[in-house]
Order: sequence, then C-alpha cells, then structure tokens
Amino acid sequence: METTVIQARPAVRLPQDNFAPLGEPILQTRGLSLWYGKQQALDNITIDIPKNKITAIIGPSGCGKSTLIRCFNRMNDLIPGVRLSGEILYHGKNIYDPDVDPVAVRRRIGMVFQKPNPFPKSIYENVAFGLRINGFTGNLDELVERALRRAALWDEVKDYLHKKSGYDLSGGQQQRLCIARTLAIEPEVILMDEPCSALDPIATAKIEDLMLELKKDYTVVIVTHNMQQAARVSDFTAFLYLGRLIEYGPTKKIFENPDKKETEDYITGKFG
Amino acid sequence: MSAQTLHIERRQLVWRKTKSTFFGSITFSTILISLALLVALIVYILINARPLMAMRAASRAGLVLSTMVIQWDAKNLPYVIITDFIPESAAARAGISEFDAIIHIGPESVYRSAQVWEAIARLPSDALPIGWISGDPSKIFGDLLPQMDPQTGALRVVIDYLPEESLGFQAGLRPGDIVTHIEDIPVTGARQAWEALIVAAQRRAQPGPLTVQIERDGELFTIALPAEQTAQIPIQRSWWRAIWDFLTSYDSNSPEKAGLASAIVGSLYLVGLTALFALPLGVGAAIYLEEYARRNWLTELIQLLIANLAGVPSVIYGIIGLEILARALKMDRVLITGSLTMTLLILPMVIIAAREALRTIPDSIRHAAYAVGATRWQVVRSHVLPYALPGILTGLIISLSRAMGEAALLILLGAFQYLTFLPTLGSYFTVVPIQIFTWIGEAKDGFANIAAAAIIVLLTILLAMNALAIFLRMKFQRRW
Repeated sequence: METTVIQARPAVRLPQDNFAPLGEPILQTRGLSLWYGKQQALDNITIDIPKNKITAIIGPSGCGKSTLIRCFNRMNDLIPGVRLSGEILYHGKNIYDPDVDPVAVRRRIGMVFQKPNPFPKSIYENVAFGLRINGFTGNLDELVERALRRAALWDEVKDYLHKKSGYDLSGGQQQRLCIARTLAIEPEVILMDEPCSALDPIATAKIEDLMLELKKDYTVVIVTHNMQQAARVSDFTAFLYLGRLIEYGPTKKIFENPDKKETEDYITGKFG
Repeated sequence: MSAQTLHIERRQLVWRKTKSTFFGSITFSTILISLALLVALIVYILINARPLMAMRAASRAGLVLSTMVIQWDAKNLPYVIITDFIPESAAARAGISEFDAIIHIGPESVYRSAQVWEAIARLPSDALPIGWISGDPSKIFGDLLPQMDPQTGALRVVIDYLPEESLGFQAGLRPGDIVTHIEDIPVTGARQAWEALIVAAQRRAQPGPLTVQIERDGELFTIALPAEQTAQIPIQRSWWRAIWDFLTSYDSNSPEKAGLASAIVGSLYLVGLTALFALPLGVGAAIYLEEYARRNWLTELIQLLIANLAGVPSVIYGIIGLEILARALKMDRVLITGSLTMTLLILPMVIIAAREALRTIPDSIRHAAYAVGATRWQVVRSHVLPYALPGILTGLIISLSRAMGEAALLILLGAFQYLTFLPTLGSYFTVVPIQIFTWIGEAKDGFANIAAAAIIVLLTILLAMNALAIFLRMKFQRRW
C-alpha cells in the first residue's frame, strides 16, 4: 500500500488561510485517496479537523462524504476490497501505520451511524457494552448514567434501564442512545454519519442541540446532506464533490461567500 | 405512444395475475394432497399399531404366542401355541404351560396369534375365556406307539403306557387300546394323533369333549375325551401400561415382549453425541467462513464443497465411517463411531444453516460494536453469535432430526444388532429406525404391529424436536 504523500494538485486552501485561526487540529488527512476495488472514491483529500469544533462535510450523494468519515476511525477496514493511500494523522500519528491497532483508534474516535443501530439488549447493556469490553472497572452504573445524561436521554429512560430493549425506544431516542453508547467510553472525536437522516424534525432538533452541547468536550465531525443543518450547527464546512475536496472553510464563509463555483452552485441548489 | 404502453402494461398485469392464481391453485392443491396423504399414512400406521395394547396385555398374562402350522393333506393348517412359559403369570396359574395350543377364545376358534390379540382387544370384561390343549401329548394319551397289525400289515397306534392322572385315563382309555380315529380323522402316528386333536378341536364351535374311537380286544368303542381345558384368565388391559412396557423392554424373539428400550437409548445417545460434536464444529466453521475468512477463491471453493457434501448420499458417509473410523482407526463399530460418522453427515447442513443465521444479523450491529472499540472476537461473541443462536439451533435441530431418522449409514456401521442391554458409548448399538427395519423384516405375526408402534414413537420424537425448533424460531425471531 502506498503511503507516500504525493501532492498531485495544489492542496485545498486550509481555513486558517482565510479566517479566524483553526485552533489545534486533532485529525489531519494528507493526500488521502481511497478505492473500492477499481473505483476511486476519494481523490487526494487534505483536510484538518479542528479540536472542540463541529466540522460538517457536505456534498451531493455519492461524493464520498461517508467514505471520508469512515476513514477517520478505520471502519473502512471492514469492507472487503478497500485500498487506501495517504495518511490520516491523529495527534500527529498516522492511524494507518502498521503498528496501530484499529480497535484502539475506534476506542478514541467513536462513531454514530445513519440509521440508529442499538443492540437488541436492554438500554443499560447498550451503554455498558463499550465499557465492559474496554475493561472499565469501577462503578458501571455511574458511567452509564453519566453517558445517558450527556446524551440527554437519562430522564426519559431512567425508570426502565433494564426493562426496555434499545429497540423499544423511538427513532430519536434510539439515536441518542447510540450517542450515549459512543460517549460512554469517553472518545475524543465523535463521527456522525448523517445522524438525523432517519429522524423527524423534533428529534433532529434535539440531536442538534446535543451536538452543540457536546462541542465543549468533544470534537464532532458530521456528515450531512441537509445544508440547513450544516449551516445551523457546524463551525467549519467541507464541500466534497466526486471524491474531491472542493472547498473547506468556516461555515459562514462557505455558505455566504464561497470561493468555488461548484460550491456556490451546490449551496444555491443548482445541482445536488 | 403512452396509451399503447399503458395498454401493454395492463395486459401484462392481467397475464401475471392469471399466472399467479394458476400456480397458486397448483400449490394449494399440492399442499392439500400432501396433507391428506400424510393424514392417511398416519391413520394407517395407527391402525397397524393398535394390537400393541392387546399384545402387551396378553404377554403380561403369560400368553406369549406363536403361530405354528400343521401340514395336512397338502394344506397348511395354522394353530396358536404358547412359546414362552412365564411362571407366576395368570396363564401359569390357570395351568397353561409352554407349547400348549390355544384353540378357542370364548366361543371362537383361533388359528393365528393375531386373532387372540383381536379377541383380547374386543373383550367386554377383563376375563379371557380360553380353551387350550396341552402341548404334551403324554398328558392326554400317555405314550402312543405305532405298531404293525400282524394280520393286515396296516399301521396302527397303540397306547403303550398311560399314567392314571392323564386325561385319557380319566376319560376311560386304558393301556393296550388301539386309537383309530379322533372325531372322523384317522390316526396314523403318535405326533399325528395330537395334531388330529388340534384340528378336530378347532372345527368345533365350542370347547368340549372330542370323540375318540378305539379298538379294545377286537371291539370298537367311542370315548368322549375332554382334551381341551378351559379357564378364565384375568387380563389387565391398559394403553399406558402397554406403551410403558413397549418403551422399557429390550428386543425379543416374541413381538409381545419386544420393546424399544435399547433402540431409544441408542438413538438418544447417538443424537446427543452428534449434537455435541456437530455444534462446535459447525458453528466454528460457519463463524470462520462468515466473519473471519476473506472472500477469495479458496473460501468460494470451500463453500461449494460444503454445499455438495450436503447432498452426498448417507451410505457414502457410512462407508467412510466403516473404513476409516471403524477399521483403519480401529474404533470398532460402536456408538461413538456411529455418532462421529453421523456428525460428518450433518455437519454440512449445520454449517449452511449456521451461516444463514449469521447472515441475518445486519452489518449495522457489527459496525455499532466495532465503533465502540470491540475486537472481531468480541463482536462475534457478544453480539453476532447470541443473536444468531436461535437460527443456529433451529438448523441444528432440523439436522439432528435427520440424523434421528437415518438408517442406511448406521446399517453399514453395524448398528444392525439384536441388543438386550442399554448401549453405552463403547458398546455395540442399535437405533430406532434400524429396529423398525428389523421388525418389518420379521415373518412372525405381531412384528409388523410393533414396527408400526415404533414408527409412531419415532415420529413423536421427531415431531417434538421440530416443535422445539419452531418454538425457538418463533420465540426469538427478531426483525432488524
């Protein structure tokens, strides 16, 4: 596998070139390209994800948003036939180095999926699973409660933690349960792959409030096809098109004064 | 243009509809016919198993029967004898002993043991009126001696010795008498005289004295000989008792006494051991193929081979078991060899079923577990395997019920045994299907009936296993 970084074309301008300082980047990709078999899904992506901010990745369907976010915690490893070149630096360390255990990466970079996918177990067990397998000792109940409180779900489920299965909850509650499950093991980064696409507007609003709350302690990367959502919650926005990073910058700038014509066309709804 | 398209679509719609109802009706009638056939088959088996209760009742009362044949005028005349003397039984207390011929049940003459069982089944009370002739001719005629008539040269039968307690002495026969006829049947030999008694008695509608013509000092006499004894034998008729006896006794030469104990224990041992071997092997293979192995030509080949192995006739597996396990590895043809061979037979089915079950677990669950930092094994152990377990167990049980009904493979492995003990892991063994096969091949009256009863036992066990499989599937079915 190639790991050398070849800058084939000029790197996309990074946000700090334009506006307020980015802050400390927590995740950086360097010339990231990815192929599913022979089909290239990502083409030479270089992007810095700032710490304790919400970064939104937008773009039309099939542009590689989900693929990119799944690279950040090596979920693409689970798909057969995936080939990858370039680097993803997490605290300056390439997570695709041979000496890196993907399990350790996923432990620090959690993920929330498009469709709520709780385990068919009790609410408590859903949250406690991550703690158990990562060898947490001590008061599990306390940690489970804290995770559920942070996910703004505690008050709704505290009376039947053991009685109800994760599947008995509503869609929005299920998604918050999945967020609680991710929060329980205290990751640094939370990746959200279109977390609201299966939810109604009220549940979506709750999740968005939650994201703004989580920003204080975590770095959030969210993939969304909902531009209003990106505009509402994110600090930085990256626009991907056909596997390439077209533009990346503070959300306000991307939405109000984009540099590239493609970005403007997409934002204004000329295609997408 | 659009109108035309619409028209075509409508026609297709109509055509599809007729097609589906056509196939629907065929499917429906096929299901109906198969159901009717199944019900008819079960009714037929039940009817055949019906004498079981009377057989076991007769056997408990000491009437263990066998149908014998008298060759007479180039004809075979059947009669029923007691083949087994059971001390302390009701029959023994009534004075019936081994080899006695049963002539009448109530007012009816009986020729075959099946008739005795039918009569017992129909009996209005619990007392069986029975008429029999002693199987020991000396108790009737003493010692008969064939002699040649010095004047005519004809063969005649003379009473040589007659004890005083014999029936003949009490009826008036004396030593030296020449027995010429029993009823109208000429007497030509010692054994034949007894057979003539049987035939003559069977002709009568009721038990009663038979007329015996004798020649004493040149004169002819007719003596009424009460050769047939009668008694009322108490019969305990109980289906529960009959079924219990049938399930708990060993194989026997007499169908009344033969039971399924060793076959059932053999089958349960075999199926249990097979499950023990096949579950970890099959599930392990399925987990490897589904969760660990990369998709390449090797796994494709393995998949193909497993699918093919599932279709290999069981006899082939039997030959493998016999040649490799029993002979080359010197394990002998014992139960554990049988279950290992059976494991080979059902393993492909278990693997296929387990893979199907694993495949029903959506990837979203796997991804959810990976995303919180689970290793592959933790994902499998904590999530995939527990959620797939009902499906895996359903597949296992269905495969085991095939193993339960399998005979061909085990016949090759020598499970074709006459066992009068409960098999253990290292012993020779037999199983229910083979026991059924053995009994069906027996000529003696009654074996076909207990074979039918054994079929019902086997069907019940299989039904219970399948019910368990359905229960597991219904109870743990989950929609993702």
